[in-house]
Amino acid sequence: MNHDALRENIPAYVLGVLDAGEGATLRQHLANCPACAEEIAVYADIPNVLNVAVPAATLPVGFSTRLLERAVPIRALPSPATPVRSRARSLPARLPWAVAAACVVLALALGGWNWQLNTKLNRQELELAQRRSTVAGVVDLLGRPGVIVRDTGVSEDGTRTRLYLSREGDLAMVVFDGMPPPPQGRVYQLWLGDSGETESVATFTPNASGHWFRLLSPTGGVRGYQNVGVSVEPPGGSTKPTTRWAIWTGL
Amino acid sequence: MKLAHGYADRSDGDLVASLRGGDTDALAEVSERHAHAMYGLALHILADPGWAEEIVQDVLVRLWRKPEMYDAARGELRRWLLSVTHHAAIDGLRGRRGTARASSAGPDALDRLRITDLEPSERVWQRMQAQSVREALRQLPPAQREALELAYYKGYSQSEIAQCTGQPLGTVKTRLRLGLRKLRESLKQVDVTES
Repeated sequence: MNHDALRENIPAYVLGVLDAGEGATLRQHLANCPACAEEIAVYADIPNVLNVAVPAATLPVGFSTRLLERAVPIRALPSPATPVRSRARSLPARLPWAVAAACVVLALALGGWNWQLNTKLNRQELELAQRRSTVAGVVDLLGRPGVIVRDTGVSEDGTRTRLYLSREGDLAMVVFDGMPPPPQGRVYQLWLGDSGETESVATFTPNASGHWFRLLSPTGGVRGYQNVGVSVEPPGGSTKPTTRWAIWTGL
Repeated sequence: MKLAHGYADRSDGDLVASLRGGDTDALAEVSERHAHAMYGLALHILADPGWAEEIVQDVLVRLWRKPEMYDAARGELRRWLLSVTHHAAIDGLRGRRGTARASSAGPDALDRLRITDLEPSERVWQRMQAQSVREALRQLPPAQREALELAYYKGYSQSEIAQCTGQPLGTVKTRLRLGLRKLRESLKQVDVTES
C-alpha cells in the first residue's frame, strides 16, 4: 500500500475503527513517515473531545448502591449448619463479640442521628450503600471463625484501640474508644502502614463518646500492611501524615 | 461514620491514591464526580440504560481493584475514565454485532504517539467546554458529522459506514478526513480565543 492510500486511513485510525491488519500496516508506516505521524499528532485530541462532547446523564436509581455492592462484595455468611464458633466456648469468651457488636450498632445509631438530609438522590444512595456495606462487612468479619481480637491498650491521650483481624487476612476492623476530639479545625486521619510507606484510609472525628470504628478491606487484603496509624490533619486530610502519630500500632 | 468526609476538596489524584487503601469513600467521591459523564457517554453509544450502567460500573470497579491502571501523567482522571468507558462500550457494541474491534487506535494508541504534544492537548481538554465541542460538531456538514459519529460513537468501520450510508468507500474516507480536519480547526479556534 502506498503513502497516499495509507494516509487515507489516518482518520479511521484516530477514531479507533481501522481493522487489525490495516492498523498494523499503518503503524509500521508511521515509524518511517514523519508527515503521517505529524498528522496523527494533530488529531490526537479528537477522541477525548468527542468523549466530552456527549452530555452527562442522570444516573439510574440505585446506581451507587449497586456500585458499592460490586466494589465491596457482601460475602455470604456461614450457613446455619456450619459451626461458627466452638461449642466449648464459654459465655465470657463470647462476651467480647457481643460488646463489639453492640458498639457497632451504637456507632451506626449515632451516625444516623448526625445524618444530615441531602437533597441529592445519589448522595443519599451512596451513603445508604456504604452503611449497608459496612454493616455487612462487620457482620461478615465478626461471624467468621478464628477472628483475631487484639486490644492494644490505652494510648497517652486515653484512646483504647482494638483490632479485629480475619484469619484469612482479607478483612479487619479498627475500633477506637475514649478518643478525645481532634484539635479545633483539625480532623483525625487513619493510615495503613507498609514498610515505611503510608496509605490514607479515611479522615474522621470520633463521636461524642470518643468512639469510632472503620472496616478495613484494602485491595489485596490487610496482610500486606504492618501498622495502623492515626495523625491529626487539616480538614480533608493530607496526602502524607504531617504530624506525629496520635496512635501507631501493629496490625 | 460520616461518608465521603472532606473528600470534596481532595484532588482526583489523592482520591485514586486512597483507592489503594480500599477507601470506599474515595470511590464514592470518584463516582460522584465522574459517573454522570461516563454514563452519558455509554448511554449515547449503547442506547441501552442497563447496559450503559453495567459498562460504567465495570470501569469504576476496575479502577477500584487496580488503581494503578490510572497514570496521572497521562492526563486527567475524567479523560481517562471517559476513554476507558468509550473503549468498553464500543467493544461491547462490536461484540454484539459480531465485529471485534480490530485496531488498537483511539486515545490509548494516540497517547503513545503524542507524548511531546501532551501539554497543548491538556490545554485543549481543560479549556474546552462540552457545549463548544457540540457546537463544533453541529457546524460540520451533515454527511461528515454522520460519518464521524457512526465511526466514533457506533464503532463502525469505514466499510460498514459505506454499507450503512450507501456511499462508496472512498467517499466515506474523504468525509471522515474532512470532518476531522474541520473539527480540529474549530477546536483550535476555541483554544486560541480562550488562551
